[in-house]
Amino acid sequence: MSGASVSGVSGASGVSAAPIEVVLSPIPIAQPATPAGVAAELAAARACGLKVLPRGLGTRRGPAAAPAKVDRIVSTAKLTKVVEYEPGDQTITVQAGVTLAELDALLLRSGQCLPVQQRAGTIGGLLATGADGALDLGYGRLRDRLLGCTLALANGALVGGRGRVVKNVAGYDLPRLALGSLGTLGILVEASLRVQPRPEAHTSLVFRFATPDAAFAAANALLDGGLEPVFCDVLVSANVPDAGPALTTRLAFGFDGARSVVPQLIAAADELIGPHKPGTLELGAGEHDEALRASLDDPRGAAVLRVQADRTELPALAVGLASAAHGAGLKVRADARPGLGLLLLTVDPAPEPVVRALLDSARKAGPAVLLQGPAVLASPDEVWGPPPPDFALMQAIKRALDADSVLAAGRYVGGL
Amino acid sequence: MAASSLHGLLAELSRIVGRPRVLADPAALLVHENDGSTLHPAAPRAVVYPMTTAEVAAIVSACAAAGVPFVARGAGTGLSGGAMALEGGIVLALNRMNRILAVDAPNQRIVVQPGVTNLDVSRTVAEHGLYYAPDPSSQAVCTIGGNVAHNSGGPHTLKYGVTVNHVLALELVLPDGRVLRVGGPQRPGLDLTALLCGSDGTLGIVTEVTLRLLRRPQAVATLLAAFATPDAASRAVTAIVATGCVPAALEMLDATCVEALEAAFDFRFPPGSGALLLVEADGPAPVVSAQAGQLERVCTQAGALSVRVARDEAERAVLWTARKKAFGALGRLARNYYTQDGVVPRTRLPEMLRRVADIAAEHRLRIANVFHAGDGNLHPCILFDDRDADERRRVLAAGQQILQACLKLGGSLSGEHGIGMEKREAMAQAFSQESLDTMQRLRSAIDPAGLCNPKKLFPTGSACVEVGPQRRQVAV
Repeated sequence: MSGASVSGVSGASGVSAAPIEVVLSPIPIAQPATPAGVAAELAAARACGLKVLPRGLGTRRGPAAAPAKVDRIVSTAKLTKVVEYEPGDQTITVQAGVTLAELDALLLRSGQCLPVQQRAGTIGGLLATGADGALDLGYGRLRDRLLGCTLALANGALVGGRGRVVKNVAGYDLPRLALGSLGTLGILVEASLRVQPRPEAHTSLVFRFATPDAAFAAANALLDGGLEPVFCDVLVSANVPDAGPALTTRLAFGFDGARSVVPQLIAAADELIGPHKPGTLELGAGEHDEALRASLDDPRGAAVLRVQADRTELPALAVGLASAAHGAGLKVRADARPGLGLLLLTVDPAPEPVVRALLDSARKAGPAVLLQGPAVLASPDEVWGPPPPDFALMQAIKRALDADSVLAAGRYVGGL
Repeated sequence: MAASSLHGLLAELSRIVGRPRVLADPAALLVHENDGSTLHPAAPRAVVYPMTTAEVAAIVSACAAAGVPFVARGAGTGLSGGAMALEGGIVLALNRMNRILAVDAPNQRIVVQPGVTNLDVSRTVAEHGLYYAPDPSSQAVCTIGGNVAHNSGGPHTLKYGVTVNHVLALELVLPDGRVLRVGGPQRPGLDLTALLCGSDGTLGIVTEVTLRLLRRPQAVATLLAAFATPDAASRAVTAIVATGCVPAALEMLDATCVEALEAAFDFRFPPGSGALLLVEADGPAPVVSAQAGQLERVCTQAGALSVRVARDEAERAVLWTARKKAFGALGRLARNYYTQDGVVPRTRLPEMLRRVADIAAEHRLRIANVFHAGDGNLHPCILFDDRDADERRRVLAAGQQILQACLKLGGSLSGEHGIGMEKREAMAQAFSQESLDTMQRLRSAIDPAGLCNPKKLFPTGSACVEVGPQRRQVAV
């Protein structure tokens, strides 16, 4: 379709009707093929007082509160250009609709990668939802890889922030403001990212421990031992059919690097965790490594909570939440990431009162977000928690960039 | 501003912090008329030394009420004029807010006041095996508050990132005097920490910073290789990157620096050395051991005239002298130098160096190049004599041309020094008017009166700043 069309308003080509999970009636979807087209759609929507829900391929559900109102969807799915890729610079600039699979295939040809586990959806969706993962321990977060971006604003402007080089302090950091904010400030139409040489070898190991305390002690020994595992998770879990209160505790970690070096790191790790008496080695080097890593960042459950907490608080928090969920008859996995100060709690099924109680309990320890959960828990405060102390500043920024609240109304923290 | 209202404001500032912590005597203000840069001096109306957040808030409120601009200043080592009080504003000198407020070693975190020096952070936590990663060359003097304002980097940012990658939370005094806690990057909500890092102090005054600390690497390998030409050294950089190794540091110095270093420190580089490459790898011992051998081989294959490998910490310090003292050594070659800070994509470095040489020839100037080759961040040092007015004009013109060349090659105006007043006019070439307008709207949303460090970061439409006579120079 024409990039400059205001198709959603005029009913011109490029608009189709499709349902989304949060709204029952069909909502017009515009899929502009150019960044300017996205900006024009937004300007037209604003002029008509319409509310816009930004979207990629719609593969990522959250975290996001239910939108307050959606008159039309503006999708970036057709912004599929690779704008610039110079392997020697280890940077790439792509439009938002480039899928993660396409990106990975392109980078693979030069022996590089974007070190995220997610494979479904678009780069725009990944950035808009601010996805994080277990491997952030070794590779840094998406926040550390986002170099610059172009945003389409509600006033129809296309605005650039920072740039394509790996070091840059020119102008305000619009890219990081936009990261993870669900398009509430503007629709991300193009992004520059720092990519990474693909490791020659990667290995993951999973040890079962008799107690959570022993597993956390082993994790600390590993994290403080200077071996730089790329991920290090303590998994406290319980299945519904299991009798009794006992939780199962595992320590999962992995190393990436040169083929000659990874075995030496594993041997050194063995020495570090040995004193903490690990039990059965459940998954040895090389076995199902990729599946394990993918599963860490794709928690399957009816409800998933992400809690930020100090490394020193994580053991009690993981055991407390897992016990509470198990006590309520739920299948549970608490995935603690001591090196990142994060906990992912997955429960199944997800009865609303129990999930609410778990959220309340988690929020006493630190900021907690409901990544996915029962449909009734969809208000901004339920999903994101109460607005933080600096919320007034966030509101001021929202007003400065989207004064009429055209974009993603009600989706983000505090209903921004 | 009327003399009476200034008098009233000074009286109010004295009431807030006590008379001894307010300077208004022109002679005393002289040391605050410049930062570490070579820009035209601008003396503040007064300098006030707060010690607490409450005092900063009260000072800012008083300035806001009087309609007087204000700017925070740390150690004054900035190189872009970011901390200079233009339009006769008030300087809040934060270097006495230098307390370490809390060390949380198990959670690898420290809370500091903005006047704590960069190096003091690492010194404080060394006993726990921890350190603070960003390490600008001025780290013994420069303050964390200034690092936040300019999003400072240093030689180790290739692997570890710049300030924004290590700031977990901030306390901020808003331009109207309100105090706000700005949460960390993982907390839900807009990433205001990132917005504030590198904002040139235009959005408020940071009064407390929570920093992420890293564990000291198990092993470090440092090499210093000499090459005949920067092109040969650049080939080594490309080859190193192609191995898949992400070095902790990858620094290059050109022939002019080699000459200055030889004169100052008698390094005895091989005859014909026209470029130096300092490479450092760190991490787990088995990884570093494998990488050290690989790096040495790569440098040799790229035509290195010599490769020196540090055998211990003392030798490592000697090799780093070549990088860290290079700016000081340039004093052997010229009375003054003006340091630029530009960025190009790494693969465009050889092209950029040739462009810098052309610019030097065009303006009959000598330019030394010290740069972070790994991330394409150049620091061309234009040598000059500040007593020569014509040469000063040519220095300025050359500096602007270097920046234009960076932009033309797809780079940036600044990697780690900030925009300040030095590069504000060039922002109009780096960003579209719509982008600048949007950033201005952000600024106005937070500082509607425009009193917080005005005339910085954004183009004013006025003539470029001048390169004035210098009183001192600071390394980067």
